[in-house]
Amino acid sequence: MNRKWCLIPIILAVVLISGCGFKDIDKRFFAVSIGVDKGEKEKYKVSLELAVPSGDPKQPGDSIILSEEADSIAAAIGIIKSKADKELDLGHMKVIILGKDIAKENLFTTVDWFTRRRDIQEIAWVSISDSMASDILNFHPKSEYIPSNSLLFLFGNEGTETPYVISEYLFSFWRDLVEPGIDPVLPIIKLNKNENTLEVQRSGVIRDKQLAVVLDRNDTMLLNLFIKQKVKSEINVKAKNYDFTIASSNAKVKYKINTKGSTPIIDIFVNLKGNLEEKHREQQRVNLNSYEKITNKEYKKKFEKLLTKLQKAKADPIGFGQRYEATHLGDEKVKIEEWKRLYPQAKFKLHVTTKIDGTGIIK
Amino acid sequence: MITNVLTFIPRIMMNERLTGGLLAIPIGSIIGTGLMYIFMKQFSHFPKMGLPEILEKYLSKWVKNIYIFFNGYMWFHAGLFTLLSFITITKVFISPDMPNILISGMFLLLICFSILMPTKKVLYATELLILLNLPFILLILIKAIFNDYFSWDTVRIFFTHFREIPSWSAISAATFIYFGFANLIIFNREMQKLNLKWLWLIMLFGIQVLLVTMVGPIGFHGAVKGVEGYVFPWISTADSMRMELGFVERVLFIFLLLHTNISIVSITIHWHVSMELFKSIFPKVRLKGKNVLGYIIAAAFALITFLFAGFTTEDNLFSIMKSWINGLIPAAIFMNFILLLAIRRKKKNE
Amino acid sequence: MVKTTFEFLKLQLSGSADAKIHPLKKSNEQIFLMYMKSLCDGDKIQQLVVKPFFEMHSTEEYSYYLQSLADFKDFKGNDAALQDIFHGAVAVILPNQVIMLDLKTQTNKEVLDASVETTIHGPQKALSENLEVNINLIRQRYHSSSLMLELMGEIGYKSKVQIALIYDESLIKKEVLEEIRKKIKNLDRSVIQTAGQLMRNFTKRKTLFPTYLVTERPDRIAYNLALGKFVIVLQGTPFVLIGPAVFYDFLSSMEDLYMPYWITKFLVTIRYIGLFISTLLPAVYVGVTSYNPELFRIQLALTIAGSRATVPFPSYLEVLFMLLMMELLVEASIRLPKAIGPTATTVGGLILGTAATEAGLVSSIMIIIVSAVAISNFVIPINEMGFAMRNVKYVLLFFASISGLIGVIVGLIGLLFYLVNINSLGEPYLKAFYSERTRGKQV
Repeated sequence: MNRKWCLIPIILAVVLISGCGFKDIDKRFFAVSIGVDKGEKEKYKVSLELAVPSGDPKQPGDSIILSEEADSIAAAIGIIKSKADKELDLGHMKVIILGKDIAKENLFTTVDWFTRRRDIQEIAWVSISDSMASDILNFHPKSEYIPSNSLLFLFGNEGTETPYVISEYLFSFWRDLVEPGIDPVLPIIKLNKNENTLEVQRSGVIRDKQLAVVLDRNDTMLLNLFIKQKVKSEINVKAKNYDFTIASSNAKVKYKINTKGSTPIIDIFVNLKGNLEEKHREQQRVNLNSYEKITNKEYKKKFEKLLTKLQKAKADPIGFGQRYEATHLGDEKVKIEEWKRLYPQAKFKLHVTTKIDGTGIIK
Repeated sequence: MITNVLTFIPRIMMNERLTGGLLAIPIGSIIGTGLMYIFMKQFSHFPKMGLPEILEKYLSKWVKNIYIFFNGYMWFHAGLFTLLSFITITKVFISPDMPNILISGMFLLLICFSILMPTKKVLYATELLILLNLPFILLILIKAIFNDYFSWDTVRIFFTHFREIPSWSAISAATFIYFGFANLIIFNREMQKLNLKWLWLIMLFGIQVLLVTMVGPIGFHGAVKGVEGYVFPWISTADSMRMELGFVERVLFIFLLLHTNISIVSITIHWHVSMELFKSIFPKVRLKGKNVLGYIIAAAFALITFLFAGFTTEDNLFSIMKSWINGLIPAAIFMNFILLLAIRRKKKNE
Repeated sequence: MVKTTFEFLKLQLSGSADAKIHPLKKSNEQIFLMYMKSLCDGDKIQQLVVKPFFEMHSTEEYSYYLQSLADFKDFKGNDAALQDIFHGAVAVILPNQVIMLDLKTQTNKEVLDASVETTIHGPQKALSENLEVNINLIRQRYHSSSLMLELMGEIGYKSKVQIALIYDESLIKKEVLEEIRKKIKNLDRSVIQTAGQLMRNFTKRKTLFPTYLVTERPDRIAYNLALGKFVIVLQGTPFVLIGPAVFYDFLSSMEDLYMPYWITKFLVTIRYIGLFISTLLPAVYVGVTSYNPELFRIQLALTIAGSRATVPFPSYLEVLFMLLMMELLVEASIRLPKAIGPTATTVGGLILGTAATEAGLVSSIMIIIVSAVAISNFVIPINEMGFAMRNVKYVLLFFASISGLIGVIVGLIGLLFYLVNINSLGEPYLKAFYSERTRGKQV
């Protein structure tokens, strides 16, 4: 009997305290994406896109966008909470869009809120928008069932696999932002009002916690080859007598930093593999060897141009600094200072090898 | 051993990752395996006897009482640290709106029930739970290493610091994961014969676990400045993994599930040992013909946990843990001494 | 002495209309037959007792004759004789001797079909309701000299049902045997009719999980005897009690031995999956929808939110309501007369399911969950364990309603610990790598 009586107060206590945190799913609003812009009156303008569930699973969902200006993101969210009739749930937020103007200021303090909160997934996609972030949020293509799903598919590999998008997770963005040897790269979204589409074709390199360099479409593709290395892309070659395109399926990039001499030399070995996709000059024969040679030459030039452009801007998205730290001993601070001195003087030596596997169905 | 990934140990080692953390791993492994070997060898002289029985038989009563009390205290603290960090993690990640008392109360209910089980049953339950959780652990480990966004360069930065001499705390932290053997002092009651053949495998496994503990978060969050910003390095690492084609997309939840299971197992083992030790010192208290000493001790544990949870902050806790860990290796060596004495006496009597 | 016996029996038997006190008179002798007409086989009495009496010359010869009959029983005193008469014995009162003959009518000898536990490939017949027939059937499947049968007398001081304990001497553990013998001797109920009642009386505490196996299949009995378990057979019921039983026994079906290896593995996996689904699904649903909706993918979360928009109750009430309806349905379908059976299915399926969703009382996801739970519950081969798991589901639901997902995990681990803690007659209930199974594989 004794044990039974001990149980009753426990159950009572438990039941009375219950209900904490109990909130039914239909009393929550799921935020699917967030946009942060520079506010006109205050520091930040935060826009949240909330998904409105539809009872019928066959109908596409609707969404509401709520915006607010405040001095900190947390304050803005707090004010937005009062505008929504249901509890805000940020657990499903997967797209973070930073306005271009806010990206030009200190990103470290802006992104701090995102990484600090426990319910925002570290696998959320971070991106920069060309115009105001709220414009991008307002845009809904016809084909998406769930609000901002199109962006999700674009960034993740579930939808299209395109080389023009360099996708960054929140955690890798934070890592590259904070680590001294590497600089993060974010995709830039542009809303094309005429065609009513979202274009993600350019990317921005962040240096010193601010947006430093904007790379155009081709450069983005090249950089993607460097960083992701498994990217399917189209390699255009236009030279004197040659004009063709190779669809590359595989790309391997290896590099070594050589600091023995007076100026550091970075040896980069690029290995491309692909199939011939399109040929524009009418020639009798396709000589794969000469195609490969001309690809090597062309791409060597292109890569070098990109790398020197980045070097001039003192940006290092590929992570040469990290590689330097990884291959030398000593205290980290000393190494970083050393590399800062060495990087602008570094010379790039590229060795590009291409292998064309086949020519498609016709010769 | 696997619990190690999930508790406070990594934080100590993470703080020292640039100043000798790497070397602590092999040093700690050697010391740990060495201690394990000596310990098991000594215990093989006393089949089916736990530490209290050994001390009672061969040494004086005073030594026994004091030493067992000290050990019970140490074990209780081991479980306490795990429990407190586990309650914190639950509150932060799973249910932030729940009052602390409810969370702690629930866990304490479960754990107090589980430590009152007979020793053999605790062994069975542990075995079963670990078996059930093993596939998930492997899944997470494999996903971590083969992730696209895992930066091997940062790991290499970590490895460049292999010349630094680790601090005592780091070595102790690395040794801690081998200390599972110390629970033998009570579980020996159920063992017939101890198999020393597989020791080298355990050492290999331990080294691998330690490496993964360090390398995982570093690869995901950066070696130089990134990873020290995170309060719970491994949990954020788990959150950074994504199973696009899995049932739950965020690996975090699987990880937390795992964490819960294994923490409960670990706390059960530690507190069970502690309770058995205390039980052997104090006289039996009879209430209605049954020995309720176990219940009293369990209630005492629960009370102390509540007090601790109420009065310490996270920083406080961290420094207490650190000093506890520093004292581990000397304590283990001391136990070896005592066992040696007992063995000598036993040989004299025969 | 014989006279007192006669008087005593006459007194005791005079109340019932079916008690017969029949004199057999010959020219120079008279003997009495006392028996219960409803219990004894009239033909046999005629053949074995009455006819020879009139064919033999002297009573002494007759007495020797009777003593050499197969059905002869020792006369052990008045009370014992009375007991025997009520078990279908005939008391032959000779001038200086009382001889008891066991001539009872064996009714209910038909061997029944296996109705509770069916298999596709195995034997289709179960046991019968008669003790002797059952022992016959069991011995026919286990022709081993080490198979011992102990008639433990009668249990239940009013119903006095015969009980037999069968075991394989060379395989059973001595402690287990001692334990079960002690338990049978300590039974003190007035009426015990079935094996299930026996099981309840063996376990002193009020338990949820069964620790003995109740079965009607002779192949399962033989298999378990070969594993070193004992079998208790009761007169009047085709179900026997096998013990000690561990958790795995309740999740194994005899099909596992008859099918190829990988099919068996697959079936066992399905059973465990069914077990998890039936216990966990409602609790996880409540935990996730009300506490941590970020567990699901976004599409699922939005669908659930959308379908719950019309439901007036919080999630745990919705779940409870549907589960209760399902329980009522299941209970009712056990007792339905055969004519109404199909109606119940229609009612349950169409009305409760579809109409409830249309009316906005429950969400459509709930219907799926409840039907999944109901179906997967019956994947468990042994009924008792299935019912036990039905209870467990509500406990987990309670924990989930209070504290969400963490409550579910705590509840689950608590359940695991509880199962590990149970002892079935000294054997551990739940244990990984249970070694007896490897022992059984040699069978």
